[in-house]
Parts: sequence; structure tokens; C-alpha cells
Amino acid sequence: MTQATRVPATGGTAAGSPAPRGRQHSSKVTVIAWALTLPSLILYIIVQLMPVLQGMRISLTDWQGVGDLNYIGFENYAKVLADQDTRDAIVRTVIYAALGSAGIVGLGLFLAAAVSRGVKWSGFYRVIWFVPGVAPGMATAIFWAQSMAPNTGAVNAILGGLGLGNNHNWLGDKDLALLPILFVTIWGGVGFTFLLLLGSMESVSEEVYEAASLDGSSEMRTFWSITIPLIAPILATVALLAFIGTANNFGVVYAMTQGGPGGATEIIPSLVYRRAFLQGDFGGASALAVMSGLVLMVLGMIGVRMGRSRQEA
Amino acid sequence: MTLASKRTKLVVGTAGVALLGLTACSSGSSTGSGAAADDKVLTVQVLTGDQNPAIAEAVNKGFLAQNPGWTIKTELIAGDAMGSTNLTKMSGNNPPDVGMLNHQQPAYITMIKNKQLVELGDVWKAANLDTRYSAELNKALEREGGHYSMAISQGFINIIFYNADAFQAAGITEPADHRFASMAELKSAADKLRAKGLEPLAFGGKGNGSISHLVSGTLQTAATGDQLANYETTYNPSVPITANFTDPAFTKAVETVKAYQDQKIFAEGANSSETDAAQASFVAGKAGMLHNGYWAAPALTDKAAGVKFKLGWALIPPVDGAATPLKKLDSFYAINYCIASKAKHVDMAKKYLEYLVSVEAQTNATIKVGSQIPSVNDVPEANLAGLNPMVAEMALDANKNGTAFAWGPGVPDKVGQSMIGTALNKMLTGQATVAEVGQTAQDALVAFRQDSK
Repeated sequence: MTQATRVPATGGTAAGSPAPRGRQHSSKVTVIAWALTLPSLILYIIVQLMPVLQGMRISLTDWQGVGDLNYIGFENYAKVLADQDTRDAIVRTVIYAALGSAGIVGLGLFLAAAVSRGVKWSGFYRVIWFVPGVAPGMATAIFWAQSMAPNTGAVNAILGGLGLGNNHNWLGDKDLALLPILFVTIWGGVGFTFLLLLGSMESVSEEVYEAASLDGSSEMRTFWSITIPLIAPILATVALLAFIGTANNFGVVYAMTQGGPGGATEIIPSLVYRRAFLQGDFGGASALAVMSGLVLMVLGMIGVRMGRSRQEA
Repeated sequence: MTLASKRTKLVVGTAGVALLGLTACSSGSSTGSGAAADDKVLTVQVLTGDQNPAIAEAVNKGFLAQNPGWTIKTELIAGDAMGSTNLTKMSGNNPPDVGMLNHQQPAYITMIKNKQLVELGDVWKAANLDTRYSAELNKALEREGGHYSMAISQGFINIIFYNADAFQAAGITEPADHRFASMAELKSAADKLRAKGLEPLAFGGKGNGSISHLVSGTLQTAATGDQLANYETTYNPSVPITANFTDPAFTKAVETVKAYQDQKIFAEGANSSETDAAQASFVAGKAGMLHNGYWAAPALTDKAAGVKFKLGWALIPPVDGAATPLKKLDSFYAINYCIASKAKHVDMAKKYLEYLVSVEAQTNATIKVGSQIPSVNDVPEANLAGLNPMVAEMALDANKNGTAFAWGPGVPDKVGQSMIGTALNKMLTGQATVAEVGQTAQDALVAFRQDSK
């Protein structure tokens, strides 16, 4: 004779008896999690999401900063893409972001590798390489712009003292102006990247390196074949962040050259500023900002996916 | 306590915290809102920087003496905000009574068309500004057939300050009557200064400001009076175009700007230099001349921080083969006071504007406090004694020889300063020809007129 098991009417529990402790705990945790997340979520929606949506809305209008929104469809997008200066700025932004992020990640990787392997005075270097990262971006850009002034700037004065001439006008030369900007971008951006990569490298178990050493692997071979693959997810993430951050780097460009000379260093953020606040073309500026944002978002998603698949591997 | 009541308390508590957070984060002018009882409070915007707050304080003092029972609340705004966040404030439901707008912004015309600004014809009449403002200023402040803003002072651009001691040491004769007679004279001065190891003309070429001022100055002599008048007004689609930017007059002006670089009149690195850095170079005695506006005079003549040599000033030379040989001071009026339609005290705001241009306010505030040049032309000469001596000389020159309206800063940015500055910088870096600059300006004008219809 079998004893029938009573199937409870609700919730998988016997009627009248309390829910299992595990499920009760789980729903309590969910409520707490939502409660704690809600204020930030509300702030995010108001401060980040709504302005983005409003910007997308304005991109479909000919709004000049006042008055009602007059919808003109995708006319702004067509105008922006037809404008040669805008196309040049897009290409220039990609080049600037690619070179800038390569410099930031490359230099950060090199410094992290040196410090993690216990180079002399590594404690000092941990601090000194991070300092440019905490200095205010605009202030450092202004400092470097003044330093690079012909005749009067510190850089030219030093070069003059070394017999290399003291009237180099890099920021006034359409072919060279992007180089000092790249230098300042990399100089300011390498600090955080260095720290992140250093942390990642130092989390690699020493046993792995010992095993490699026992197998006769050289330092360089160990670095490329072991360290890099093991920190690849972090490396991919910092590279992506560096690219996005550089592409959006309004401060350094505007402080050093205002997009000049003659538009030779104009990137999308500075062009957006010019169109909106100097020319009153908020619709066109928003269209450009939306396009830039969409591209960076797609790149971000690709990067996250790649990073995730590496982690899974 | 049951789980349901605990959960309810948690949710309610969190929502309450969120609401508090939102309230704290909300922007907006807390002072003056809902001040139903404060009916006799006039809100006046004041630009930050230079002497502007002090000028406003002096104006307010004089105005309140004539209007007892009222108080004035000032709102400081930054220059950049005039073209951005302040537009929202001026067109919103709680604008200041007396606001500030940059008439170069397209939004200014939009506000006029949307009837968001009060037309000031009655103030013009009461203050007799048709006569007391110069013809150029009347023209500059006219938009859409009316007057919607007023100027408290006028500015002069394209001043060449020079080191008179260095001139003497280099064997350069100081410009007669504050005027370089020709480009050749300026080039000769530049060459002699270089020979003495000094940079010639320190120039803040970074950005669009100074370079667009320069072409505005060269245009004044390259064009006839009628051509200049047309350049200054054709952003308005109802004005027929009789002077194109592809015409010889404008291209001549652009060529002359190019000559400043080709003939090495500019100091090294001028196109990447900030105006402040250029001025520092001049004050330090590294450059023999400085291009700036009249506002530099007080700083340059300051006993503590100014130059340690004898200082002179002159106007930029006329272009070669000038259509209008006499170079006049290039005047502009970028900072304008206006009244939003939704202002609480429109009538009192109009009285305030009327007081702004009175001889009393112009003397006590504009001149004595700000050392700025009055916007009206009937301030007695004796009252100009309060001006910085060099600025007073410029004011006297303006009275004697008249002034010319500076095209670039006087028209909307899309067809003026911002547009032409970029085009000129392209030319100076070899990315565009003189003809292409003219065509860029013409295309911008045509597009603007089309969009304005």
C-alpha cells in the first residue's frame, strides 16, 4: 500500500504551512536589491537616458535653442553627412581615437609589465605614472598648449637650448597639430590604464610563471604567450574604453586648438559644440552626436561580446 | 511584523529617499520664484568678467535713486551662457526682467519672430536713440524691422598697440594720427622690429575671434560705404544682395589678411596663439606690437601689471588701393540688453533700459566705473575724463573721424565671425585659396537667407 503524497494547492507547499526558507529569503533579497538600485536607476533615467532621448528628438528638428521643435525628419542627418568638413571630422576622429587608444594601451601595458616584474623603484613608478591621470584634463591641455608655443613656450625653450630651434609651431601647422594633441591625450590617459593592467597582471598566479620558467621560457615569450592571453579580457576592455574615451575627448582638443588650425584637428565632439553653441544649429549638432553615439555603442557591444567570449574560452 | 508590512515599509522608505534625492537634484533659480509678494523687485542679468558687475552696480544705484521703493536683483551669467542656457531662461516662463542676449546667435532672430522679445520702439523714442546712437549702431541693433536690444557701451577692435621705445630703437616713425598709412608702412615696421630681435605683431590667432576681426577691419577700406552696408545687412532675406562675397571688394580684404602672414607681419606661431599669450609676449617686451581691442588698454597701462615701456596705439592700415582710404575705428556692440515678453515688470524694465543710456548712467557707470566708451554720442567731452587716457583718445578719434561697423561680429555667427574665422584659418594653413574663402562666405549667406525665410 502506497501512501499518496499530498500535492499542495499553491506554491508547491502544503496548504497552511509556511513557504520554504530558501524561497522566502530569495524574494526578500530581490526586494532589497530593487530598493537599493531604484534611486540610482531613477537618477540614471533622468540624468542620462532622458537627455539622450531628447537629443535624438532634437536631431529630427531645426531647433535653434529656443521656441517649439519643428520636425524636419532626417534632413539634419543628410545635411551633416553631405558636409565635407563633417566627413573629414569623422575620419579624423577615428584616426585620433585609434592612435590615441593604441598609445594609451601600448604604453600602459609596457609600464605595467615593467612594474609588475619588480623593476627597481616600482613603488615610486606606481604613483608617478598615475599622477597625470588625476590632473584635470582641461588644465593639463592648456598647460601643454602654452608650453608648446613658439619662442615663449617651455618645450621650445628647451629645444632651443639643445640647439634644435625654438620656434616650432606644431599647434599652428595643419599637418602636425594632431601630434601634440595625441601626446597630451596619451600622457593623460595612460595612468588609469596602467593601474588596471597592473592589477590584472599581478593577479596572475606566480606558479604559472614558475612553470613557464621551468620549461625554459624566456621573459619575452612568457609575456606574449602567457601574460597577454591571461589578461586579454581586461586588455580588451581597457582598449575599448580608451577608444571611446579618446573619441569623445572634447576637452583636450578644444583647449589646445579649438579644432584648428583651419579645422585641421576638428573631431566630432568639438564640431558638435561649434554647431550647437556657436552657430545655433542644435538640430544638426544633435544629429552628429547621435550618429557618433550609435557608432560607439555598436563598437562597445562588439567589444563586450569579444571580451565575454574570451572569458568563456 | 509580517513580511508584507516589512516589504511595504521598505518600498515606501526607498521611494521617499528617491523623491528627496530628486528634489535635491532639481535645478532652477530658487530665489525669486513664487515671490508673489515681491512685486517691486526688478531682475537684471549681468555678464561676468571685466568691469561688468561693477558697472551694473553703479547703474542700479543711480536707477534706484530715481525709483524709490524698488529693489534690483542681479543674476550673473557667463558669456558662453548667452548663446546656450540663457536662451532657455529668456524664452521660459520665468525670465529676468532685463536680460542679456548675443545678437549674433540665430536664436535671437527666432525669439524676435516668435514674439518672445519686447520691441523697444517706445524706449528708442523716449531716449531719442535715433539721434543719440550712431547710424551704425542703429543699423546694427535693428532686426526684423524693429529694435529689440540696447547697447550700454561700444567697443573698438583692430587696435595695434605698439612699444614706442622699441620703435624708436628700431628707427621706426610712430604712425601719424594713430594710423599706419599703408600696408607697406606696417611691413616696414615689422621688418625693422625683426631685425632688432623682436617679434613684430603679436596676434591671438587661435580660434575665430581675432582673425575675423581683422578681415572686418580690412573690409572697411576695401569696400565702398554702400558695399559695406550691404554686407552688413544681407543676412536678412528681405534685403537684396548687391555686394557678393565673391566680389573684388571682399576678396581684396581677404588677400590683405593673407598678406599679414605672407609678409611676416604676424609674430611666429600667431595662428596657434591665444590672445592672452600674445598680450603677455608684448608686455614682456618680446613683441613690438600687439593686435587686440580697446579693452586691453586699461590692463596695458596698469602701473603694476602693465607695460614698462612707452605705449602707443594705432589703427590697422587701409588695404592697398582702398576704395575707402580713411581707416576708422571698427566698432561693435556684442553685449545687448533686452526684455523678454514674459518678464514680470516690462514697463519698469523699459525705464531701466532708458536709464542705461542716459548721460548720467553713461558717465557714472560706463565711463567712470567701466572705463568703457559710451554707446551714445551726447556725453559731454569733459565727462570722458573718467576714461582710461588711451581709451579717451580713441573716443575722441571716434568723435572726430567717425566709426565703421565691424562686419564679422555684427552679423549672425553662421554668416559672420564663426564662419569666416574657420575659412580664413584654412586659407592661412594652405587648405583654401582666397577665392574659396569668398565662395564659402557667399554659400553661407545664401544658405542662411534660405533657412531664414
